[in-house]
Amino acid sequence: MQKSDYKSRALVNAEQLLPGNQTFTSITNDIAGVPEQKKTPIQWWLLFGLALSLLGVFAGSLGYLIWEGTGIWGINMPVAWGWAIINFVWWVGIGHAGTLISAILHLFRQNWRNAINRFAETMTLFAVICALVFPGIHIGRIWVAYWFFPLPNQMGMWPNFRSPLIWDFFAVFTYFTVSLLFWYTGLIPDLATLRDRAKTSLRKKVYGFFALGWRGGNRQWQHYELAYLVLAGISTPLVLSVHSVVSSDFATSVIPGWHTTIFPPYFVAGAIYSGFGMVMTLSIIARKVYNLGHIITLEHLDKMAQIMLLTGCMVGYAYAMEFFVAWYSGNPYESFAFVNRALGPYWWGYWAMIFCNVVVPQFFWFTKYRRHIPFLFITSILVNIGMWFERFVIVVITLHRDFLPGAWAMYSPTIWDVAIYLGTFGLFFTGFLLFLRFLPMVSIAEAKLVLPESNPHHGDDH
Amino acid sequence: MSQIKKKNQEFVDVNQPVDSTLPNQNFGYWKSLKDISSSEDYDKFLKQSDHNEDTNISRRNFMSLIAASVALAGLEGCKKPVQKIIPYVEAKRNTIPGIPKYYSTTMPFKNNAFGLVVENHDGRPIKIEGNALHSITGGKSNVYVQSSTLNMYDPDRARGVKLKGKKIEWTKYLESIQSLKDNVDSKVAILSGESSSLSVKKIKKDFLKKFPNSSWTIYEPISNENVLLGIEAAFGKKYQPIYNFDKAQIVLSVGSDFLGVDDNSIYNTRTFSSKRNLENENSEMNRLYVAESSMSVTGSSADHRLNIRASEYHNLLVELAHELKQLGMKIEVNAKKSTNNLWIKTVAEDLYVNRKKCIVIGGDSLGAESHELIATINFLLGSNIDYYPSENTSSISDLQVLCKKIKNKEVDTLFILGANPVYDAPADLDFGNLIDLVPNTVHLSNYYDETSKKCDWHIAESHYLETWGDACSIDGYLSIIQPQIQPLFNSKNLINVLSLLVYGEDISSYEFVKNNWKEILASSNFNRSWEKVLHDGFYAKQYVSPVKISRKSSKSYSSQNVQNQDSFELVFTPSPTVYDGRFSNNGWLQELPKPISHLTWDNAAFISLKLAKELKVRNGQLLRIKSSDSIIEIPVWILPGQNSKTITVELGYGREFSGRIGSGVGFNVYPLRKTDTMHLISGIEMEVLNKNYPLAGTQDHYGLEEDHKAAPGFSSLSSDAIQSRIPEIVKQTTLDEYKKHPDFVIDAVKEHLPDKKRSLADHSMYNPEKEYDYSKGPQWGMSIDLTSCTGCNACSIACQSENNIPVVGKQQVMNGREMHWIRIDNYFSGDPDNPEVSTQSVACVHCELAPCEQVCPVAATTHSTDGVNQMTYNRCLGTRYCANNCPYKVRKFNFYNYTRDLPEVVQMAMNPDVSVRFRGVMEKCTYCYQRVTEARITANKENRDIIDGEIKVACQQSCPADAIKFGDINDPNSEVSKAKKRNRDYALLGQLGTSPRTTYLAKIRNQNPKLVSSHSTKGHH
Repeated sequence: MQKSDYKSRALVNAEQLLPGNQTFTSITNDIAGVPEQKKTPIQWWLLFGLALSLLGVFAGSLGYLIWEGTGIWGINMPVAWGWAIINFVWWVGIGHAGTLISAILHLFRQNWRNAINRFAETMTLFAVICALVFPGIHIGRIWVAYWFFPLPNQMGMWPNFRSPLIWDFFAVFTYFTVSLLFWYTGLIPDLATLRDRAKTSLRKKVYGFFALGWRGGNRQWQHYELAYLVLAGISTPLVLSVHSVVSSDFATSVIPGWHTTIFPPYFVAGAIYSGFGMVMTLSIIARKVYNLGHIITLEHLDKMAQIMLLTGCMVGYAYAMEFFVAWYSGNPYESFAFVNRALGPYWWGYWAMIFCNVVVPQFFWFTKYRRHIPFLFITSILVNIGMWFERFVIVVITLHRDFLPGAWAMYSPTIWDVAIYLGTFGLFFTGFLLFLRFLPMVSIAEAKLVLPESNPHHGDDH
Repeated sequence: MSQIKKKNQEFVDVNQPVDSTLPNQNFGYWKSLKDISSSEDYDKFLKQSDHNEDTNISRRNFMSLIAASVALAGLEGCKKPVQKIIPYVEAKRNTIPGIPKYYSTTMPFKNNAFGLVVENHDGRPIKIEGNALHSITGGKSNVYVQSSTLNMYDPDRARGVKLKGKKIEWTKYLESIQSLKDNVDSKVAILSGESSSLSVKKIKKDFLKKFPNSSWTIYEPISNENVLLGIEAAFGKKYQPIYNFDKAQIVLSVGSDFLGVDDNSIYNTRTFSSKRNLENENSEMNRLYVAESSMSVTGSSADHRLNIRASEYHNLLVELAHELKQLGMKIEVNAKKSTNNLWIKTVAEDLYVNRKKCIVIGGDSLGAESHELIATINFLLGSNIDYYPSENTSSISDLQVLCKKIKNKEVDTLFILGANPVYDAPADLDFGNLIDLVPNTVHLSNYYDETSKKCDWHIAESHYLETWGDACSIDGYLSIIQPQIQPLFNSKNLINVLSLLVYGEDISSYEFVKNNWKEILASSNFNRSWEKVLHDGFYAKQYVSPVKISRKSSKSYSSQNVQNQDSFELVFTPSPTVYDGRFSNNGWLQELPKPISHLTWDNAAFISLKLAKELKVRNGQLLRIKSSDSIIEIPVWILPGQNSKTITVELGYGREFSGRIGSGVGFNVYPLRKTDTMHLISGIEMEVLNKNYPLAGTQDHYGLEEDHKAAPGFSSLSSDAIQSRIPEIVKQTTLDEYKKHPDFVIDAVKEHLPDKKRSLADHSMYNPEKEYDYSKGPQWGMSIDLTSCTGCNACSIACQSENNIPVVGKQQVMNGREMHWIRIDNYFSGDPDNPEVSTQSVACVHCELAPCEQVCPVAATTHSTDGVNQMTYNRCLGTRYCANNCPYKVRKFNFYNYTRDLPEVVQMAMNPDVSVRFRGVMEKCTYCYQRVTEARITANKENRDIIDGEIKVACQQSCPADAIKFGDINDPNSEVSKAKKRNRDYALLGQLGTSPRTTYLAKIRNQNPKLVSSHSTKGHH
């Protein structure tokens, strides 16, 4: 009974996730064909040009920042953290979906993830790189940023391990390292495929070098699967820990609006939410540009929309809970911090957040909207705008009015805040487009797993 | 030798100005050494030192030559005073580099003299404190005293002598005087500011004697002429009043800012606050009534404040006299009752009951007639006022006479000494054009300013720290001005400029002053007495004593008819920072948030909230103000407590001279000021312009105004929150309530303690008691008394001077990046037209469980074993996390490298005991740890403990109200421990459990129960 269910579900899965009469060959041809294209599509060049120019903006504004100092930004006293920290949290958050998709869904054997996991993992890598830029550059003396590292020195100066920024630093670096390993491990069989199909010796050598001598033998697959499983196991707690640690930057402080225990789960939910938003945006673009509608299907998008609905409701609940707890605490400073978010001078930021993060995903209760690609595309972008505003609300609105009204002040960003933020998109998309051009954007080996041929049991009972 | 000479010559060549006729500002003080010591200086130095011709070098000569070269290269100690000066505190025979010496001197300020002690590091005056022995300062100071070092180290100061804008030798000036000096019939006129100097008085006397056709006019744009005229009318002669607030129980101020901008504010605040230093609920406390049109420092300290139009001051006084008459005072008066009768009647009763223990004081803006009435009331009440003979005071009528003489071409040579009449003389005199009618004009001033441009000769004036002189405080004590450094810029003083003319020879100011004092000291052993005067800074015998006064006539006083109740009036007031404009090139002062308004870098038209609503204007919108034929445009700034019919403008802005700080800052309001409207213009016309001007205020929220940016319909959200926080933040009550509930503070704090059985520290994960033993050794702490604090800003600028706090400029202030370590918060509550003000100075409170320390990723901010929260600047990498996590928001960040481009002259003003911070590091109050360390080293060397009072932190030392106490909280007998034991003691935001080391003493208002209305908000719980 159960077995036949499993079998039929596998067939149904294959039909839904990879429609049409797909075979191993057709999948390999379709996916590996993209990096093997002789002629780069014009859309790619257009996007790459745009990304490169944004990268130029990034380099320019970074240079100016290093030359002049953080004074070029809009930060002040009391709002000593501004866009840099907002962007940091935002980019780290985006990364989370990648790990969730690759690791947790892998552990739960959610094969539908196989079409999007490579994508999501790559997105994680570049998002974390973008995020890691900010702690380094937002400090006053960029040239001593290495003091974050616990480097032995003759003065015995050590980082302050009580500081959440140090926890943060370790958390994000661990996250980056594990994500990179995970991504690379997943790539090895595909790199071997590309090596084997290579027409030029350069391609053969480069792909061959990175394929680490993969032959696709049984023992290799056995070790590989185990290594992948272990890495998935290591990555899984990171999904929860990284953003929890990031949230402790705020939660361990004494500032009303930051000093709250709800932050870790709330940050994790928000991170997954924004990450799925970003995966959605990117995959809709990629399937359009490369005609991969049969590999990244509506079913995938539908499932992602469901997760977004779930996490969107979770953050919505967190927003409501924050208010409740502020009121319930009877602490006037706490209450004011939250009332000021919703009704103070930055009320538009708060309501932008509520609209994008809580109102918009409610449409995903309906299948029609979950499968409506333009709607999904706009929504996925709105979700990330909303999540950016969430961090704006937390960082700026909290700081601008805390305990002593004599120290209250307003904050407004400068052109350089905007330039660096846009610049990180340059960094992100330059990397991502290079990935699309030279590496298989969908895991060839794993995409085949959903085909009935991958299940060699054929009704046998063992 | 030749090597050194060659090097020196190279130096001179390299630094030779390309065109020596260039004006000063092109001298390039920013860039190189040449700016500090011009090539002429250097040549002179070489000649003076006489080493160049000396081929036979002794070891001693060689060493001094090397030292001189090094000193010049390092720009330190290159200009030491030549004459002998006696150390004030420690008489060490040899200078030890790095160990400062202390000298006494005097800052002349108009007709007053502030006795000072100057901390001199290797020949550079660095920090100024009041002279504890001096009768006026008593060891205290104000913003003008504290910032005056920066005035001296100002690269924009005029230098040398100029003839029609071209540089010229000083000897050329002397030559030009030669012909004049022999012609006793020459029509010479002198215009100067007020001076209390005996030497100047002597020159004046001799000058007028030698040149019978000459005149000497004294003009100050801000003067108490009306006070003196009123006293003259009442008592027959001009007397300078000294108010002994330490003896007065009841004080009524009518339009006087005697605690704020006043020639004698240090003395006033000292004496006034001595009656507000409440030991406990049974202590005596004075009561201050203030009637004023614009919220001043004095008004903010008032127990009862009445908001009235400036033009109604006189009628208020008449009504007061009437009420006093009702109570039995013998005065002829004919008064109309006003709506403020209850207030006036209550004040009258209070004054009458407290006869001989009261003072009525009127502002400079009151007319002579009002001051006559005040003098009479004071006389009849037996007020605690001493009257001193007064001479050489500013006079508008004398200035008018001078102008008439110039117009009639009766002046051949005009000396303008220290004054700047082209900028600040009454507009109707048109001094700027009149001056062209004089064939020969000489201007002595410290800047090449508006007047200098119009004069033939310009001579740079020495700063008081660079020159010899003397002064007399208004209470009759003579003191010496002794130089702390040789003039930096080839400048001269008044004695140098006039001595050849008057005495036929160029007398050095040192000799002149000393010779003068030979008469004064008249002692058998002059040198000994002279050295004692130099040591003490003043002559202990009172030179002028108070006089007994008697009433001249029993005149009848009656109310004036106030014309047109609906018309608007304009009141001029001196700026609390740049005064009449004389300090406008001082960055510390320009950036100092003004008391009450918290405005920096500009002046504005202060208007009431009500008027702002009526006119629909917002802060920064330009207002065109017209009075007869003069028009100015000035941005508005909404000020709680401002009278709705009175617009107040500050003088001293809109300067046009070559100062990189003060030029073009703010708006010049002198064009509206005429001889008959020196203080008040009634019936002005106003037009709101649709233009905005950015204003840099440092406090956005006073607690009364609407928040236009809030969500629609919630504009009172922030004000409501602030109002609910004020009683929490500035704990306060009335004296009567305090007597009823002496433990009101303790009771209020108890509510916040998380658990009564445990200490706050037990609630922390990081228990400092396990890491540091705070029960041992000296543990530093501070107490700030909010009852006696007036919010005068002296502490803030003293801190800036002591701790090398950078000036960041208007744009950075607008971005919220001002660097002051001490912030003075003002909160307003109650009626927006006449609010109660809660003033609180906030600096780092040095939490024992500091939130900033936990979050620093590199441990750049840590705790010392003596309980001080410290910043290690060179470990700081600038994450700013500490600032975010500071509940008091007292940490300041170097967003840019504010100190990199400091002119080298300004670098000389930096305190060598304190690091100059660089870009990207956080900074904040250190409890003047350099002073703590110095005391500790001294104590260690002498094998003893630090004595209480040995360490005075900069803010404490300057505070004229003596509101700040600092010391060892482990010593039960220390001043600070005693202060902290008072029942008013509380920790700001104590409920957070950070255990701050700075605590506050609650504010007590001595309100008259008869005037306490039910709707008035009181802070008590």
